[in-house]
Amino acid sequence: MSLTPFFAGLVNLGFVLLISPLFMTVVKKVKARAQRRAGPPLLQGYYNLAKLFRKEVVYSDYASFISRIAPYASLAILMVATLLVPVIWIPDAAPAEGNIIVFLYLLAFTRFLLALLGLDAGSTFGGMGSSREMSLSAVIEPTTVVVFAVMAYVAGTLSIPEMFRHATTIIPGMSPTALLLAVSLFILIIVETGRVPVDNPETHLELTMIHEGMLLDTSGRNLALFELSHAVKQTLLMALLINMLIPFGIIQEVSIVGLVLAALLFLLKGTALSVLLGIVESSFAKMRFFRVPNLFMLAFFFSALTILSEVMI
Amino acid sequence: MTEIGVIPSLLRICLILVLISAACLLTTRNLSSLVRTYALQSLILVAIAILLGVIEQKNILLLIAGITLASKVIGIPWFITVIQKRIRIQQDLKFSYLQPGGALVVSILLILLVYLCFSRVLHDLVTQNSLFFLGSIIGVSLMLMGLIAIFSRQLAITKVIGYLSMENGVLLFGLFVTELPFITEFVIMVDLIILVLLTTILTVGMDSSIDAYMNRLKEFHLWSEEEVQA
Amino acid sequence: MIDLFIPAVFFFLIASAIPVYLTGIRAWQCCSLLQGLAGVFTVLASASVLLRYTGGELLSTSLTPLFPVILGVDRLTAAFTILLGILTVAVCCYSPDYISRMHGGRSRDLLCSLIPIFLAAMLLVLLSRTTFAFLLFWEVMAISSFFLVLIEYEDEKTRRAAFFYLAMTQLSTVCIFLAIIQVYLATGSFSFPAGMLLSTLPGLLAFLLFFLGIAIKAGVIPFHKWLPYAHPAASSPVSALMSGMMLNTALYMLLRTVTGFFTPDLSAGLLILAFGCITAVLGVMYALKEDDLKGLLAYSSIDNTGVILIGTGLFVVLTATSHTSIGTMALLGAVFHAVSHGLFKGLLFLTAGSVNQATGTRNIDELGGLLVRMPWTGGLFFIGVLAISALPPLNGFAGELLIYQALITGLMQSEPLMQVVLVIALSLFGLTGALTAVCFVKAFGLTFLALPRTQAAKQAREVPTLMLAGPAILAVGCILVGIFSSQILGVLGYPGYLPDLLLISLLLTGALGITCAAVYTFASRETRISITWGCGMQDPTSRMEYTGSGFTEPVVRIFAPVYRTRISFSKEYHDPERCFVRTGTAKIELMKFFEEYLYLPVARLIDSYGETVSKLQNGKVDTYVLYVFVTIVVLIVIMGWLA
Repeated sequence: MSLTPFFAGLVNLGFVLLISPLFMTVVKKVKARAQRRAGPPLLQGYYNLAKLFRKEVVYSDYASFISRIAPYASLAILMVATLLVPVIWIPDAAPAEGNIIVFLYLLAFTRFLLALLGLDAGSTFGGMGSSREMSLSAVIEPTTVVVFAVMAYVAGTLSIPEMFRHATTIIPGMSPTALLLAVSLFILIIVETGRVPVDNPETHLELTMIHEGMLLDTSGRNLALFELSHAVKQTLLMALLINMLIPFGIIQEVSIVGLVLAALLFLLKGTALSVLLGIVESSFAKMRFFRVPNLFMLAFFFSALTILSEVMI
Repeated sequence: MTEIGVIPSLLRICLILVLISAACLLTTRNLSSLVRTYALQSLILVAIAILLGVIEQKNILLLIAGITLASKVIGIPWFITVIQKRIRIQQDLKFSYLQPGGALVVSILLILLVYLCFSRVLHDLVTQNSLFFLGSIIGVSLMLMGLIAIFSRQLAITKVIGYLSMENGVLLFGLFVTELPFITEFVIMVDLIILVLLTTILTVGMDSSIDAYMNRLKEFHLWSEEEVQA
Repeated sequence: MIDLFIPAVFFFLIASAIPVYLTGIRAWQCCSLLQGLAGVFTVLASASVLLRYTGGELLSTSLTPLFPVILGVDRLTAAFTILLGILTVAVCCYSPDYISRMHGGRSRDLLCSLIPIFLAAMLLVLLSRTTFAFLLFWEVMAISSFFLVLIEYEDEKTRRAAFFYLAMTQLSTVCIFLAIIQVYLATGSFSFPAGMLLSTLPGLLAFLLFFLGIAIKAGVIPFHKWLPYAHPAASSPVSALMSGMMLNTALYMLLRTVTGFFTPDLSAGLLILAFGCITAVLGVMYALKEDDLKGLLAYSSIDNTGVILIGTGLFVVLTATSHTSIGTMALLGAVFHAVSHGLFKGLLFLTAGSVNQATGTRNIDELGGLLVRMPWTGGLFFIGVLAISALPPLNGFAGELLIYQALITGLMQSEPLMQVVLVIALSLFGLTGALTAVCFVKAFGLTFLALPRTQAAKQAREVPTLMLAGPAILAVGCILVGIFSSQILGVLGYPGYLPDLLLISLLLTGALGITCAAVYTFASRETRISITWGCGMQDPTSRMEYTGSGFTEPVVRIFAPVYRTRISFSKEYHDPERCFVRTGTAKIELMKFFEEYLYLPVARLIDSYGETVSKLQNGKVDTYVLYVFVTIVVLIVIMGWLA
C-alpha cells in the first residue's frame, strides 16, 4: 500500500486548515473597505483563534453532553469532508472513498449538531437561530442536490476527485452550463456560509441572526473550534467552485515545486473569490427572512435551467 | 458536448441570459428594477441579433439590431421612467393566481412543455440546426412568461412590461425561425409605441394631459406645491 | 439452520399461551424469554439463508386440497425476517418492565399474549409462498394488531383509532382478496405467479388491486389517515412493531410483486414513483406540525414508506428502460432502507415509550431537559435521531445514499424525458431528507435539551435497565449496519455499490481523537459551570425556550399552500348593539385536508347508500317472498332468452 493517498490527505488537510481563517479575514477586509473603514489586519483571523483558545469555557448547569461534544465533532466532521475534496493535489488513489452526496451529508451533519447546540442553550435566541437555520437549509436542499447532480452529469462521475480531474481535461468552455453552474455554486456558498443577503455574519441582533444565534452561548475554545469549522466549510465550498470552473494549477503528480505553485495559485484564486464575495455582500441589503425562500426559488430556477440546457442543447 | 465554435456558444449563453431576465421580470417587486431588467433583456436581444447577423451574413439583422437598440433599449424604458416619476409608484406587491415561487416553477414546466411539443413538430430543425431550435423554444417560452407576468401582477405598468417582453419573445422566435422582413418589425414597433401611449392615457385620464392631471391633484390638495413644480 | 423457522413459530405460539393461564410479572418475563428465543432462532435462520444464496421450501401443507399453504424462504424474505428477529429480541427485553408499569389489570395479560401471535403472523406472512397462505396470515396479522391497538379501550380516542384502523385494514384485505382471485383466474393456481404482463387487462387489474391493498396497509398518501391515529394509540412496544415491522411486511409484498409477479413496466414504475414522492414530502410536512411525540414518529413512518416507494418505483422504471444495474442499486436501496427503517423506528418508538412512562405525557411542549435526567434513554434516542435524519455513517444514510446514487446515475444515462422525471424525483427526495432533519431536531431538541417545561418532566427518572437493553440492541444494530454497509452488501453479492463507510467512520473517530488531543494539549483546559449569557435574563426559565409549533413556524409559513389553516373566531357581547365584548374565542387549526375532502365524503356516501339499501330489509315476510318471486321470474327470462 503506497503512502501517497495518506500523504495527499495530510497535505490537503493542513493546507485547508491553514488558509481558511485568511479567506474569512479577506472578506471582512473587503467589506470594511467598502464602508471606508480600514478593516482588520489580514492575520486577524489567526489572532482571534489564538486568543479564543487561551480562554476558559463556561457551561450552564443545564447544558448536556451536546454542548460539550458538538464543537469537537463539528471540526472532526469537516476534517473528514476535507479529505474528500482535493484542493491542490489530486492523487491517483483518494485518501477517503466518498462521493459528492457523502460530502453533502457530512455538511448536513455539522449543521444538525449546531442546531441542537442552539436548542441546548435554552434561550430564545438559540431556538430562533436553530429554527431559522434548519428551515432555510430545508428550502435550499433541492437546489443543492440538483446542482450537485448537474456537476456529476457534466463530469460523468459522482466522485469529487474524478470531477476535478475531468475539469482539468476540458477547456473551460464558454457553455451556458458553466456560467449557470458558477452562479448556482456562488449562491450556494452565500447560503451555506450565512452571508448577506441571507444572513449577516457580523451581528448578533435578532433581526439579522440565523447562524450566529446558535453560537451565542459558546465561549473559549469551543467558540474557536466553531469559528474554524465555519471557515473550513467556506473554503471547501469555494474549492468546489474554483476547481470545477478554473482548475488550472492543480497538480496530479507530486513534486515540491508543483505543490508550492499549486498552493500559491489556489491562494490567489481563493482570494479573488473572497474579494468577489465581499463585494457581493456589500452590494446587497440583508433580505427579510420570509423573502429569502424567493431567492432560493430563483436559485432552483437556475439549477433546473442548467439541467434543461444540458438536455436541450 | 461536442466542440462548438465561439459564436454559437456565445449565442447559447445569450439565450440562457434571456430566460434568466424573464425569470427576474416575474419575481421582482421594485418598479425601477423591472424597467432596468426589461432594458437588459432588449440589450441581450440586440446582441443576439448582431451575432446572428454575423453568422448568417445578413445585413438586415444588423439593421433590426439597431432599431431594437434605439427603441427598446433606450426609448421605451426612458419613456416609462418618465411616466413612473409622475405617478410615483415604487413597488408592485400584489400577486394574483401565482406567487413568484410558483410562477418560476410553472415557467420551468412551460419551457419543458414547449421543448417536448416542438421536438415533435419540428423534427427537421432539431437535427439540422440545434441552435435555431433552441432559439425558437426560448422565444416561445419568453412569450409565455410574458403572459404570466401580465395576469399575475397587479399594476398596469407591470402588465405593460409583460406585454413588451412578449413582443421580445415574438421577435426572438421570428429571428430564428422565419425570414423576418423589415416591415413586420416596423409594424411591431409601432404597435409597441401605441401601447405605451395607451398606458399614459390610462394613467392620466382620457381627456387630459399630464399637466392638467397634476392641476387636478393640486386642487384636491393631494400634492403639495413644490412637487407640482418639479 | 433454515429449519429453525418452524421452532420459532412454535415458541411464539407457546409464549402467547402462557399469560392466558398465569398472571404477574413472572408470567410476562417467561413469555418474553420464549419470544426472545424465537427471535434468536429467526435471526440465525435468516442469516444462514442470506449468506448461502439459496433458500428452499420449508413446509408444505394443505388445509384442503384446493387451498395450499406452502412456506418457503429466499433472500428477499430473509432480509425482512432478520429484521423481525432483531425487533422481537428488542421488544421482548423491553416489554415486561413496560407492561408492569402500565395501568390496567387483565388487559395487560392480553397484551403480553397477543404480541407473540402478532409476531408469528408476520413471520408466516413473510414465509408464505402461495397467495392463499399469504392472505390467511395477513388477516391473522390484521386482526391481532387490531386487538393490540384496542388494549387501552377505556379511552375514547383509542376506541375510535382502533375502529378506523380496522375499517382501513379490512379494505386493504378486500383489495388483496380481489387481486388474488384475479391472479387465480389468470394463472389457475395459487402459487406466486411469475412474469405477468401489465399490458393485459387481468394483469393490470391484479397489479392495481395489489398496489391499492398494499398502499392502504403501508400508509401511502392518500390512504394513510389511519396511521397517525392507530400508532400513537397503541402501547409503545406495539407501535414499534407496527411501524417497524408491519409496514415493512406490506412493502415486502410490494417488492415481491414488482420483482416476481409482474414484468417491469414503465407506467407502473412511474405510478409507484409518483405516489412515493407525494407520500415522502407530505408525510414529513405533516410530521413537522405534530406536537405529540408518537404522532410525529407515525407521520415520519409515512415519509419513510414514501422513500421506499421511491426506491421501488426507480427500480421498476430503470429496469423497464433496460438500465438493469442502476435498477438493482435502487432495489438494494429500497430493501436496505426498509430494514434500516425498522431498526431506527423501533428504537425511536421504544425510547419514546420510556419517556412517556417516565413523565406521563407525550406532548413535546410539556417535556424538556430530559437528557440530564434520563441520560441513557436520551442517548439512545439521539442515535435513533441521527439514523433517521440520514447522517453518515449510520444506516439511514446508507439506504438513502443508494437511492441518491441510483437517481443521479440514472440521470446521467437516460433519455431527456426520463431525465426530467428523475430531476423532479431528485429534488423532492432532497427536500424530504432536509425536512426530516428539521423534524427530528425539533423532536430531540425540545424533548431532551434545555430546561424542563413542566413538573412532570422535572421529576422524570431513568427507566429500568431491561427497558434500556431493548432499544440498545436496536441502536447497536443501527450503528453497525451503517458502518459496515458496504461490507454487508459485498457479502450478499453486490460489491462496489456503496462507498466504504467503515473508512469514513474510522476517519471520523480518528479526527475526533486528534481534535480533542490537540485542543487538550495546546489550548486552555479551564472549564467553569456558571450562568451563561442567555439573552441577559437573570433567572433562566423554561418559558423562554422555543415551543414545538414555534420551532416549525418558519417552515409552515414557507410551505403555506400545503398546510391549510383555518382561522375561526367567535365573540359574545354584553349588549344588543354589539359594542362590548364579553368573551371571545379564536381558533387557528390545521385543516385536516384528506379527512374533510376524501374520507368523510366517502364515508357519508357509503352511509347514505347503506340507508337506501337497508330500506330493502323492512322486516315483513311478504316483501321477502316477493323478492324470491321476482328473482325466479328473472331467472326464467334469462334462461329463455340468453341460454
